[in-house]
Amino acid sequence: MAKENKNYLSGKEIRAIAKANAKEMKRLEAYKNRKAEEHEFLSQMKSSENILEIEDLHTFFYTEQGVVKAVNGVSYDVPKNAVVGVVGESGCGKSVTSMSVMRLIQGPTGQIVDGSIRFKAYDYKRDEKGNPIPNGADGYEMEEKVYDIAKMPIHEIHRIRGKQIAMIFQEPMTSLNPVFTIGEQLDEVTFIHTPGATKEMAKAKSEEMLRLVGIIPENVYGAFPHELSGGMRQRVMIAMALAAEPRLIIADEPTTALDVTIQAQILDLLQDIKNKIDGSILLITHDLGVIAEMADYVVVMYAGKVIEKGTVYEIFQDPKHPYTIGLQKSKPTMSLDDGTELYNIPGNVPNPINMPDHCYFKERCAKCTLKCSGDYPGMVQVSPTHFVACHLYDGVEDNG
Amino acid sequence: MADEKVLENVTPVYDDEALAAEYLEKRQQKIEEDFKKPFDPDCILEVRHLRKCFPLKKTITGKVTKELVAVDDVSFKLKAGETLGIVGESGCGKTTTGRAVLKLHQPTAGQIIFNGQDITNFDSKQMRSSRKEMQIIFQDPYSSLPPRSTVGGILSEPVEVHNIVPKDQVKDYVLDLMDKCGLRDYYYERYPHEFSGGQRQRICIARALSVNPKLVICDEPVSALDVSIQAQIINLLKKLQREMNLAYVFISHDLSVVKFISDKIGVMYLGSMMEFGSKEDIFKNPLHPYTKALFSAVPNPDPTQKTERIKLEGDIPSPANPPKGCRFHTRCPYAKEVCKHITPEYREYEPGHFAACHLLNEE
Amino acid sequence: MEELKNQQAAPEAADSEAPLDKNVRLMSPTRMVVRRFFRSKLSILGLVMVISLFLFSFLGPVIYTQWGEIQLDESGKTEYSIAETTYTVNGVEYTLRQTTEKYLKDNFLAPPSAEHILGTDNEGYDIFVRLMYGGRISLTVSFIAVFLITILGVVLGGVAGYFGGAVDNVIMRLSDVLMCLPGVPILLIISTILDASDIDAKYRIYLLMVYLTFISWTGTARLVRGQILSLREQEYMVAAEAMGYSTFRKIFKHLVPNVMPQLIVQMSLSLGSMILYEATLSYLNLGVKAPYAAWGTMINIISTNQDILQNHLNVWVPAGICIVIAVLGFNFVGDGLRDALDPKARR
Repeated sequence: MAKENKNYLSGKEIRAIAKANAKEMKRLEAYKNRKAEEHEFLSQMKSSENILEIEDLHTFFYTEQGVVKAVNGVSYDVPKNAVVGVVGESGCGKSVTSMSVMRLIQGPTGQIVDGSIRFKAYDYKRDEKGNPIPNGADGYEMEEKVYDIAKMPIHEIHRIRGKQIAMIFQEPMTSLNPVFTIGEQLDEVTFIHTPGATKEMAKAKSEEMLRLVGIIPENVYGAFPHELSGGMRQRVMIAMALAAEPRLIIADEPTTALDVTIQAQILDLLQDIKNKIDGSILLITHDLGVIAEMADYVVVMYAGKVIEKGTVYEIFQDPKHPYTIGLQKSKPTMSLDDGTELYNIPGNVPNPINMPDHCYFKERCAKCTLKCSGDYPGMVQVSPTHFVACHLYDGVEDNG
Repeated sequence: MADEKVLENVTPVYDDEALAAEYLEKRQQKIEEDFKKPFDPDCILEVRHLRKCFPLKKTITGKVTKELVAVDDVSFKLKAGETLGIVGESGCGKTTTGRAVLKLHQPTAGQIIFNGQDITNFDSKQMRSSRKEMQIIFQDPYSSLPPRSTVGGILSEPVEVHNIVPKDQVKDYVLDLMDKCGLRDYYYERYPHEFSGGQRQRICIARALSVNPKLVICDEPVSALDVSIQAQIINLLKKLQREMNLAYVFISHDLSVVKFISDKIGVMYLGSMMEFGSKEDIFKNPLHPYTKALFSAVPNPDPTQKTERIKLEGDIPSPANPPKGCRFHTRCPYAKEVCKHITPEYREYEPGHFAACHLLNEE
Repeated sequence: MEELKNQQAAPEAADSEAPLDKNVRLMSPTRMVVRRFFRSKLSILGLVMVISLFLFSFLGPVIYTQWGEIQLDESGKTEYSIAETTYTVNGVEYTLRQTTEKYLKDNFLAPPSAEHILGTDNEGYDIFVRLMYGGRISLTVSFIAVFLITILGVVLGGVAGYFGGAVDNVIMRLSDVLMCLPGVPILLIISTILDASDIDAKYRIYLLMVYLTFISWTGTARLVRGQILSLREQEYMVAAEAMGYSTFRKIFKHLVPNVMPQLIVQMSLSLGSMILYEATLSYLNLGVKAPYAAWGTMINIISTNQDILQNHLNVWVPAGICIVIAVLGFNFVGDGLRDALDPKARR
């Protein structure tokens, strides 16, 4: 330890970080596990058109090397019956945002620090004691409520997880349990989310779901996951997500692990399902092509911040942020005729520890000005639906 | 010796035994003829009828009872300074082809001619000297660097082993190489885990180039990287190719990347070469239905254009149990009866443009 | 036009990346391991236990020279015994108290005092000093055994893992056979043979440990083989192959250093079990024999005289505590090292 390397943290700094982290983690962990009345986490939507509103979300990871601000003030909305695509490179916080919505952030290192996630749920009406009220027939009375997921204690999360919001993961190979048949795993979803479901009901429902995703139930219902190919498993995952009739489906890189021809099948399926079900899809991917084909609205993220959002046409035809422009230009396309060199954004994605105060993209930006060394740019509205966070557009407010 | 193996392994394609025998004989004759042809002096790499099988089941005595044909009858030529792109979906044998060319897998049959030498039956000692002429870059920049060596150590080891420069110049040589690959000199003392994927891939490239190879097999070098970093690496590869007159075999599942970097393209499906030709041939005039379908499946990053897709039904069959006849017939929208029984011949339809499809023979 | 400008701007922008890259400071690999090791209270405790035992055993006899290992306290001792006899004569009860004073040459079973910190045992040896010498034996013997086990395990496991095929089969079946052998009964037989062949009491324990090595390398060999099998599939090994490195270089420069962390963990864990083995052997009177000290033999004293088990705890409890401290200490350190060195267990 005699040779101190300037590139590395000193022991003193490490101890200081650990001490500060432990304190914060303890506080947030206590908040997460607190007991709370329902009214404490009920909220109001800003716009009745939206199913999900994320506002100023901060999700941090308290690591030994410092606080990683994986999501650092993210706001976007998911309208009803729409597909919102979130695009960005690895480490930009797109997955952490969706995991925050599902409250799947692994504690105690990962914590939602601030912000709100408002979700319009269709849930049981509850009496003063918090029990569902039966409606006389064989069900319970239902009503629309707005939950603030970020403020929910962790043990209340079962109200929405899986039932109201379902998730499709990237790895179809590992997201199914290998010791149960597809049928058993699908039936389970119905048993969990529909009180008093019988075996026949569950099976009928599972078969209906399998047909919906283009699988003949007879072949697959009794099969084990390892007997299926990657594309089939991803279809089963989608069927599982649909079985609880969720209002929002989060698809986290649903086609990244698949081959191109199978990806095309799954994308067609998602398009098809979007029209059939009454819900929204939050599609998270790094593939601009997938976004362009699937999404109605696009959110571009970079280093834990939203840098641009708008409709799919605005983002692809009139991108404003230098990062969005560069990202689109640096992807070789099928229609591109070969130039000698591909456009590229220099440098690397910044390390999420010790973020600078100025625009995070400044170091890699070809258009940066003096102003960029100042504060982090705020969101500028360039059209009713198009927002961008870049100093180049300061004062270019949309006037109608 | 290699010839006998081919004879054993060719699958009968006809139910009629007499016809099958005739077909086999004809094919075998052609392969033998090809093997006797002189080496093309312009080409740095020539692969003829490459076949690689992996044993799946063995009896106790070591006799192979079931095998997986990972690569079946693949042939191509590559000139110095050119790039050959190999595209295909998972399980199509593109990685195995790349590794068999480097003799990291011993080919079951076929010929590999590198730099005017038939290296197919070289033993590991003979290979060792040829190794510095041909290198490989891997897909995963995380597992392809030894975790306990510094960047300097990783890069100087091959230089020292192969005596590329005198001992006292090794460090300067490595620093120069790092500069060429866009790595900063203070990275020399650092460990791989401190770097992002893109920087690691640059280290891998620098390692491969440290021995001044003539041929580099790039096995999905950008698939694990972000879009903006992908572009940097592709540009770096192109720049280095110009400077060092490298030949690349660029293996990828990403058609747009292959299109950008390659001069020639081979499309593989389930171990067989479906189509091979120059980039213009393949993209402007694709012959094989699989190539066409593959192109149309790529999502288009332009929301205003909706591409008409050629839909491929079903999944890719398992390479352990490939369909008889044409490998593609189970998913081909134009499949005919003949496709189910006879493996189509891999033929030259236009100069330098090869394909294997029955439909092309009818016109 | 704008494209062109961007192209030119690129190198400068890349330059400006350096400061941002440089101001991010990570933990150095060594510090990361050290930090993860010391995060667990148990591993610190283990380290303290192990270090203090070492100091006690190896430095202790140098500082505390009052008594030697086989030096009897011949200061003599007077033993009093009182016998009471009660008998009744004509209804009156009489008690006869008879005191015997006996002078003995050795000061045995002395209680703890300034002279003997933990007292003396049934022969008159100083227990405190013998604990130190016993520790020397236990620690040396188990270190040698673990060292031998590791060498044997690495060579056999490495060969089996790297070359595979028939070699692998032979080595692994051999290890299967060895794992089936009942350890203690065979030790008893060997010990009898050693007794018969009149081996110096000081060295028999080493011979027994050699036998132990011979039957215990299997665990290490399996670990090394498994590691090498998985490392061989790593792409950097394929890269080393593609580089045309020699087999020797591949094994010793690329494979073995990557097995080291697991080996170190395995070694520290087996140190504990070797100490236990040594104690068991000595307790069964198979290992170190009187008059030489070992922790096991020191506990064995209780079998000679029940009175010691009940009334002279100072004779055998300290040795037991030492064994517990040694085994626990090595296990804690081993667990701590495993968490610190295994990147998969990183949290």
